[in-house]
Amino acid sequence: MNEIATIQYQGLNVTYATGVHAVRGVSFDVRRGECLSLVGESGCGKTTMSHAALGLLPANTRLSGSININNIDILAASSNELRQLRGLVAGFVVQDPYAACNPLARVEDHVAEAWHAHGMTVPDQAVVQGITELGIQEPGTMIRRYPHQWSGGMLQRATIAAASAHNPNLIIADEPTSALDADRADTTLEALKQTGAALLLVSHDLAVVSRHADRIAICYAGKVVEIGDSQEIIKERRHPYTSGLLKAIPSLHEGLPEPMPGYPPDLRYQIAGCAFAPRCPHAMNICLETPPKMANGVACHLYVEHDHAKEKITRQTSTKELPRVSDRPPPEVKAKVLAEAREVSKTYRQGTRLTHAVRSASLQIKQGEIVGISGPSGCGKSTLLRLLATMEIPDAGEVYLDGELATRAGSKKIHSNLARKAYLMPVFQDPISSLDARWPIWRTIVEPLTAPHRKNQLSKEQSRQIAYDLLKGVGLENVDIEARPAELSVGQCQRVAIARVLAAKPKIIIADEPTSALDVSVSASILHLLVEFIEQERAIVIVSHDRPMLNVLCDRVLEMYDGLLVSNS
Amino acid sequence: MNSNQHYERVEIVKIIFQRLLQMFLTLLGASLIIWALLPLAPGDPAMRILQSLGVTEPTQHEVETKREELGLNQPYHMQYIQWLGRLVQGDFSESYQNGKPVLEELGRRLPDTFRLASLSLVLTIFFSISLALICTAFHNQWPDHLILFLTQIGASTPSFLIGVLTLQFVVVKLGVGKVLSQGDVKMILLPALCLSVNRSSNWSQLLRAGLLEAVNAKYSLVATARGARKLRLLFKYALPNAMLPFLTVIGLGIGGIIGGSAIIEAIFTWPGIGSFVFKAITARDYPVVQGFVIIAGASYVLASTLVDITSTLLDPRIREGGQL
Repeated sequence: MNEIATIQYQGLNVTYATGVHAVRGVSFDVRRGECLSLVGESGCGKTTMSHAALGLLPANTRLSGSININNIDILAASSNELRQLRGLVAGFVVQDPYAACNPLARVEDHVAEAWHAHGMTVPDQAVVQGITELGIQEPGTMIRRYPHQWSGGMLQRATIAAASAHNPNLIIADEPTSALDADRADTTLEALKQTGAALLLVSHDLAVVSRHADRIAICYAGKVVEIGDSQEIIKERRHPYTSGLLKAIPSLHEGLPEPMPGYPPDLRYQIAGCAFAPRCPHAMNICLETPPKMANGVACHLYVEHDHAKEKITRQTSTKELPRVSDRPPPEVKAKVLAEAREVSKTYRQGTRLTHAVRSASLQIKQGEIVGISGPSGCGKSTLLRLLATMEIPDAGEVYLDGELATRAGSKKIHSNLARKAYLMPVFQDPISSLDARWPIWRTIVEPLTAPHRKNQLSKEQSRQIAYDLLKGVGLENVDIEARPAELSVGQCQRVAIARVLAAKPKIIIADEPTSALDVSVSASILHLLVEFIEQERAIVIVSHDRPMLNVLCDRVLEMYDGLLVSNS
Repeated sequence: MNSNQHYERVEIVKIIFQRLLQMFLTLLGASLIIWALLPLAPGDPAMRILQSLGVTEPTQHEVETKREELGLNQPYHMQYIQWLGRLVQGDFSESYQNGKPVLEELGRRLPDTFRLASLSLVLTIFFSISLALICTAFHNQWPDHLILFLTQIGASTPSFLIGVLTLQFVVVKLGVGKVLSQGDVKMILLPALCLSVNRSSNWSQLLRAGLLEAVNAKYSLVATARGARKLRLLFKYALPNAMLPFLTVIGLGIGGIIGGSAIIEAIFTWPGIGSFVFKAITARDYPVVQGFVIIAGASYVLASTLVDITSTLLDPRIREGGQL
């Protein structure tokens, strides 16, 4: 087995200068021509593991154990030995292709850097050839252009061509698809496999990875908790974390995704037993005491015979009964229309260029309805939401709120002041930047109540009580209402943002990619909160590129493409 | 390919044209302000000019004739247009002190100032780039800390203090150079150095921050992962990316160097525009001061336009018709 391993990790430990013990004893290998995927949520150490393989971690990071590539131990290698591996034996691809390229150099130079970095001259036509092999049309023209003139999917293929220029034995790809639209992800992964190199694929997206990887290693809190054939992992769900993760993914799980309780541990502190035990539904006493050893591809005490302490921990389960989508009564056919866009269009002008963001789109939002809008990035989804919320005036058509004319083309006036009275409330993609970083969260939450149209003046004590009740409603009863957003996790911030929405008691929630900045286990709980909001007299419009999620969540899903809204039930 | 390049070229020409138009408008605006400040000088201009010509007690008739001659009886907008017309023709009026044309007086001293300012600019750019590169290469090591410490002192010491201290300790005590340099080209280095200390300290800290940002950018990580050496990273990736915003800083600084040279020139008795204007200010010679402000303002606007156009040519993203 040792001979066929292209890269071999043995007992790798990584501690950052901040004291975060990011990787806690990891051993695995990637064999020749194989695709192994490290899957896990943010902060599980998967990126650290991949960067360690090329010696890319900051200089003051403490590492122990070993990583072997070509019989060279990376941790002990000199900078010259490392340079001989980088680019020649091991290629490297990152998440955002635009960030990966020097913005001032042509794509041609980016690919040619594979040779220039090692002081070699570029073989004749090698750049064009590499690009052509990955299926890019008119390569001669394209490579003379700058990165920002390329589309994301194509540029990612160009960076793959750059990483595989020397036919490396190994390619390390850190989230190579997550900055791209879903349909680009598959072609990108195919392009990576096409290079013929062994592939160490870091990803948070179990659904995408399960279609391409030969083997999957599930990472949690700096450890690999389960490793094995990707189909078996998906099918058998042996480790409780794997099982929880799969239940939270709409496309791999039937019905509304199920959230995972709790949060990952703080890796600055020592962890006595299994890191997952506090969140595990099957936790036993031994789980809190001894860390489980990896055996038969899974590190869990459930699969090891123990003589003692096998009894299960009884936990006070405070998990609320979650509403199921199927339990929801279907919206009435004759339900009242809460908001309507009639033949709206919007065109943006930048210099001499016109972008037709929305072309003659019509949409009705009825009481009790969850409407999904899906489509690739740049298709005009967010603009349509802004039009509906009367944050933009359409170039053609009208928008009605609660049956009244709100905005119409040719008039700058906002005819209905409903939108100013929290008739619609937004939930944004990035919860951290949508909260005021300097305000304690209770102030953010009650902020909609301070709007001038609300007559009642709240005292500070009343406000704090309201904020506390709302936080309890979104499952954050243990969070200090005086906390600042920076002290909370991204998922907690999104819950605070939802609490703020609920404070305003809107009729319609407008959610623009509410889960795409979140980990799957967290995003499932956010979806549940949104569903809870739906009562007969309210509605949700939710925009996302995640089609499977919309399919399970929404009463109807509309497809948007190039500014056109296509009804499609 | 051709259409794309053609498109790019058209965009570049358009942007350059826009910048030149902006420059013209800025100059016009500046001239209006300078003209509007004229009446702030005490006394009647006609009287002042007559007095400067040696007529100590002019008659009413003489004053009226002079007013007529100067066009002071006309409406304000006509006065401005005539003033601007004279300016464009190179008539900056005459110095109160010796009655010679201002442009001629300034023009005689301009080459010396230009020599001093440009050498100072070259030194400043050289120092700030090399110091910033050393800091970035040895980030958080002793050379970085040492340079940060020294530039902190340099940035907080005004030029005139550096000039006076240099004169006292380097020239008088050590006997390097002369107290009265009198435009001797061999003596230019000391005043140029004094003029660049403060600015290089500031600029090297700014550029250091830009370089560090570029070194920590994803494209630098990718370049490292592909086998690029540290030096290549610094010069091929970090420096060009950090230089773009830095160009704007340079453009804004050029005006400051010309203005700041006045005191250094006075200290080192360098016969440039600066020491001449310094004398003119103490003598309340308004035409000279005004002429200096016009020249300094114009060179400032010209420099920032040049910088704008340069960064347009260097940055492909701005070339595409984006905004600076």
